[in-house]
Amino acid sequence: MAKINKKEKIKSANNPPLSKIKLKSADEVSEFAENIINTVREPLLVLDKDLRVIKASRSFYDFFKVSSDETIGTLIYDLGNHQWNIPKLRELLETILPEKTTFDNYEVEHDFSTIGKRIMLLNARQIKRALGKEKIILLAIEDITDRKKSEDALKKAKEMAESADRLKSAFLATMSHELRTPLNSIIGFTGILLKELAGPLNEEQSKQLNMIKGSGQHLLELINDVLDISKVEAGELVVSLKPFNFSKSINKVISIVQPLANKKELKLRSNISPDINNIISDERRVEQVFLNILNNAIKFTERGFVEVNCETQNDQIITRITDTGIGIKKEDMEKLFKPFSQIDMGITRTRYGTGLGLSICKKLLEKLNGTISVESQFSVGSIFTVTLPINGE
Amino acid sequence: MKSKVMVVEDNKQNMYMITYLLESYSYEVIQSFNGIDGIKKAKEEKPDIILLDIQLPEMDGYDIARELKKNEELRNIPIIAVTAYAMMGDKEKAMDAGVIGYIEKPIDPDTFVSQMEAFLPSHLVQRGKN
Repeated sequence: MAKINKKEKIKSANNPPLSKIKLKSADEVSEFAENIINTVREPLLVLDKDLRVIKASRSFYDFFKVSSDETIGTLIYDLGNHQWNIPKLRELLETILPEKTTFDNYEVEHDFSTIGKRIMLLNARQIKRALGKEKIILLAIEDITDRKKSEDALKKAKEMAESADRLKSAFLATMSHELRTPLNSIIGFTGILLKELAGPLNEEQSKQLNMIKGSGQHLLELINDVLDISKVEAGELVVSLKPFNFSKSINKVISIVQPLANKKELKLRSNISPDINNIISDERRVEQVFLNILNNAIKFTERGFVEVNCETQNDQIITRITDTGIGIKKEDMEKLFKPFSQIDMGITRTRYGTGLGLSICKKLLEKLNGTISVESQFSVGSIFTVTLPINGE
Repeated sequence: MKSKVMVVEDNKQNMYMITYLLESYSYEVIQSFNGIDGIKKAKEEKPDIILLDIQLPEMDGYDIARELKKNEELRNIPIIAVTAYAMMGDKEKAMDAGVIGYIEKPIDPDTFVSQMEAFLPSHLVQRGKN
């Protein structure tokens, strides 16, 4: 405060103070003040120490639909046939203001007979008159009824959207559980029959049972993915960070997808830097991410190889999965990590997939403080790069 | 004498499947479709191992496991949870309740029995199919 005062003093040395501006008569001063008051768009009242109206702005008369005759000299509470006898206003003028001298954004709601229910923000100032010791009060009134209304509507709309979203997630979670139960018995019994525990099968029977098993497993993947994405969206996906051997996990995932690669006669190579040991992360989720990416790489590669490279760099483990597959078009890159966006091309329709895998990977990696990115050249191949912090943070 | 496996599972088809598999491998199966019955039968039959579904109506698998662990005579019977992938996150909760192993649903008929046998003292493992 002291600093500001000093500045003002310097300024006033060069410029004459307001009172010295060439306003000679009291009339001129009064006119000057009135002009200011009438210019302000917000309704404004000037009250004397007894809370009687000395002056009101033009906007006040317009807004409250009252005349100056019924306003000037009247006690504020008596204005407009005692309409202004508002408890909260009394509190402001009689309790708060004498103590604080200024008070801003004091919210008052009142039902006026002339203009209906209004919500107002009041700014009050208690000022000492230049001459004499009497105090006056300036009361600026801002009508925020419409603003409040749209704010409330917005809030309601937001709440509704959020509750619909929660409902959707809960529905998906319940549904996927309910769907899984009968599916478990489809997959299980098919497996038992295929084991020929219930008797030998002929070639055609095995073939068709294998198809049931394959479709069942695909359906199960879909359901698990839907459950995962609904958990992510509901904010219910919890990761548990614990140390585990990273290269062991990568090798485990590679051994799971190896049969797939063999079937397509693809080379599946890995190159894990020997300095990679333990990482603090969520083992199951990390394996889920790499299983997904490797499955994709093999799924979308017809000839050539899929390669996994792991190295450490500044407290991060960087894993690159390179394939010589169909690649991704530039315009499709953006869609890649969004839910339900398996890129639609004639050729991919024959491939199983939920279109959820990569979006789940991205969300999971965000949870694990990691990243995923992709470089690709259409019909040449893709490189997916995953980074994970070694200490989990 | 055949080793006894108690299965607590509320879904009839899952129960049939697990029973069929275990009986194919010469195990005796004691079926129970809910927790209260399961605890009662465990006391009567003293099974060698218990396979427990977690999501059961009224008394869930955790409650059943805790209840079994309170009983002096049943305390040492290994309890394996047979539960869906979605519930795997609750591993610690299950371990606290006294579950020593997990078999994930959907069960894989190729590996199910050997997954269970991993938790069974070796002299109780049945050799060969029926």
